Amino acid sequence: MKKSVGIIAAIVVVVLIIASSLVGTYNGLVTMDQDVKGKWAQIDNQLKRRADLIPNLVETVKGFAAQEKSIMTEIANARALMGGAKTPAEAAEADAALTGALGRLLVIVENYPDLKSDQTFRDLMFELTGTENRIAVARKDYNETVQVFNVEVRRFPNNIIAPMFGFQPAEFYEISESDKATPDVNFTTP
Amino acid sequence: MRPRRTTGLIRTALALAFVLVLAPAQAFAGTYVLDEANVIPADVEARIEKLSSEIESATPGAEIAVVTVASLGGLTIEEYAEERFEKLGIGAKDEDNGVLLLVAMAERRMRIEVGYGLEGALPDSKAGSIIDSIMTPKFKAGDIADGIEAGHAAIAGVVAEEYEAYVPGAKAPSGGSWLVVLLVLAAIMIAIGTGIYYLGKYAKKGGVPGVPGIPVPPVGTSSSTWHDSDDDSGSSSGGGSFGGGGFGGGNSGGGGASGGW
Repeated sequence: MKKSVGIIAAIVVVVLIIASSLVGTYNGLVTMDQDVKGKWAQIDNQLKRRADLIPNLVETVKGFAAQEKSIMTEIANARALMGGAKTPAEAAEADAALTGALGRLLVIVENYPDLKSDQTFRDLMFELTGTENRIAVARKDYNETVQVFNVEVRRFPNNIIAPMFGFQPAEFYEISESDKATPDVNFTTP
Repeated sequence: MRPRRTTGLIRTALALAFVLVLAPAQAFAGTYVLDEANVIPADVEARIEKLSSEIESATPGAEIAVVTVASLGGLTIEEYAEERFEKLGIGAKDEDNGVLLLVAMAERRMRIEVGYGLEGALPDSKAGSIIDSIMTPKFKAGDIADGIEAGHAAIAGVVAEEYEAYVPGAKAPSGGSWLVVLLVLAAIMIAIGTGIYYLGKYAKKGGVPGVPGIPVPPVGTSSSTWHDSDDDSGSSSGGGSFGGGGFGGGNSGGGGASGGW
């Protein structure tokens, strides 16, 4: 009788310890998961802002260089791609396409001194490169957070516990090295 | 996307009061300008330091730093600026109202990096046009120090305007009235609070003494410790938990603009 009470007490203690460590793990994962989501939102905000600036840019360029249709189409396509992006990888790809198109636009602009010196155009280009840089900073932030989260999810015993609550390793926001180059706004005073 | 810009008026006013009260203790010498490339003569540097320090005391800790480097060591100016900004922690920690004016000599590049809290006042396009129309022409003519000073003054003007605090060339800081109201209110409340506290205490003991020696409430003790620690250190690196020497611990999200000459 006395012995069984001791056993029961021991079991209760063990269960309590396991339960409390489960709760701790779960709460930790929730916090980190929210952190990852928050960091992603920062990238997403900048991507949206970038997409919002595009129509203005296209309109401005049209006013000076209406015949440059192919670059306009390229920019419009990249923007559409960004709108349809569902995952970080898709968003990164669309953003890289847009960055590439903007880089080519800058080369074309060299042939249009009036456009190049237009204040609206210059402001827009500064804003666009600014968002690009903000995305780069937010990306670094996000990937660091994802790194920590993924290690935590994959470590034992979390690798058993995490899937029970639906925690999956998060996706990095990655772009290929060749797409990394930020278009360089370097206006020489006309 | 800038939650920090929606700071309530009260918080701003409190921060302002805090900064102004502690401003004398926080006046660092030679902190805003890190002329590592040695391109700024001493007299220009002194003027920039003075203006930056005036801006910081007249606003909730807005810090405008100038850094010149010989080379970026293989980084882009954007990467370097971001890294340096974070490391120095330019701007007040809760306001993120710092601005970094960075010049890289070997690469012939410059950048204005703007903290989160000032992105509204100094959007990329405005930073870009300061580089474009104020700094670049002087740099091209070889007047590096002149260009830096003019760019710095333009940034200072924008920051001052944002806080309606101090406009270079103008006199009265219009933000002062709020501060006075706040300080007076605080003083009254402390006086009342202290009065009630001691009245209650002595009433229990059976009467207020005729001439009570100026009592030191707990608040006073803590504030004097603050001053002591500041007096003996002279530098803020020991007290703060932030990495930078002398700056407030602000962050930047990569806002700003770059240019070359």
